[in-house]
Amino acid sequence: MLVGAVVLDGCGGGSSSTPVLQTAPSSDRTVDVEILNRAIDLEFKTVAAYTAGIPLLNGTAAKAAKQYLSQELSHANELQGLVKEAGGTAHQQKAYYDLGRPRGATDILMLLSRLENQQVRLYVDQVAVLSPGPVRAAVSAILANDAQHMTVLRSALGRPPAPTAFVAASD
Amino acid sequence: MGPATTRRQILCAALALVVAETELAGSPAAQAATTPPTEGQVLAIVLSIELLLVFAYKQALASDVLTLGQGALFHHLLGQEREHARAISAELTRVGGANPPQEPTTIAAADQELLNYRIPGTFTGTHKQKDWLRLMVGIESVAERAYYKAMSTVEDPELLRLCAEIMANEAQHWTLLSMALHPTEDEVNNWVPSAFVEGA
Repeated sequence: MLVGAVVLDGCGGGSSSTPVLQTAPSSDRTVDVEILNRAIDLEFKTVAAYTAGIPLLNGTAAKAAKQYLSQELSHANELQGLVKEAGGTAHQQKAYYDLGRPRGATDILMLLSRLENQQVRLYVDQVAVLSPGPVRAAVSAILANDAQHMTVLRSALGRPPAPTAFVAASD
Repeated sequence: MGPATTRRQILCAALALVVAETELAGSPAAQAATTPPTEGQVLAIVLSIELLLVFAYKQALASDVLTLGQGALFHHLLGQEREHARAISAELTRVGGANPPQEPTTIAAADQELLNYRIPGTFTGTHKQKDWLRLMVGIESVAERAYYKAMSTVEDPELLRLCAEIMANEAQHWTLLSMALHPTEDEVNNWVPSAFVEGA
């Protein structure tokens, strides 16, 4: 039975010369695990979309998508690690994801843009609920990266690449 | 408490946020500066950087070396930085922050801020479009870093959400500037080089 977890609370993802030990209630860790697993599910769905969609892309879009596929995998791995550190069981990639029926490059780019947007929204909505320290820092770093992906994908679609000053506020 | 004192306080708090990862981390000054800052100090730091960004974009637009396309981009980003500054300023007022930072009023003051934040380049030495793009990438990197660190210090949920939304937008700015700096297909990997955005 989990009675609590001792975590290091430093300055974000970097090292701190004065780490402070805090005891996070097990309920907080349970909340972290639940949110992080939702994020993992979305990250893996996005991985599946990139994997399926790259063959339909050309040139700059294809090159960017290959790089972002690798980054999304890194996100999923990082989040799985955090779930394990929180004492939970990390969700795994599923065998099948319903990605609709994208027929060409534009459909793929729209699908990818939508999924990246969903990720950003999830992270922005949940970041304040997550435990401070490494969990919140990692999610912040991932959220910003997904926002960058959105920018490039929107640009490829001919849409305003960064339409709002407060990302996820109205996108 | 005058503006000079406030600037010293801001810089000391900024050191607490950024110096831990530099080669100065072992120095006595750095040790003294690594006391975690308050929410008000964090807001003062990010506001200070937002105001530097506002100043920088305005200077770039006034330089007359930007193409039409880049001018439109810089104008758009300036607008968003102004929105950030307004929002953070409002939060700073809400938490009772006194003597909020001000936008630099001279090139010399702005160059000093670049030096303080260890941003490569100077306003006086920036003459071509590519120089402006590099300079702005440098300042946006520091903004990303400041918000990244703020996310680990701030506790208020609404403030956390605001910082997350702004951090994401600064990362978008970084990417847009990099796209302009590296416009060819061969350079695509420079637009979003890292899976984890932590700034510089």
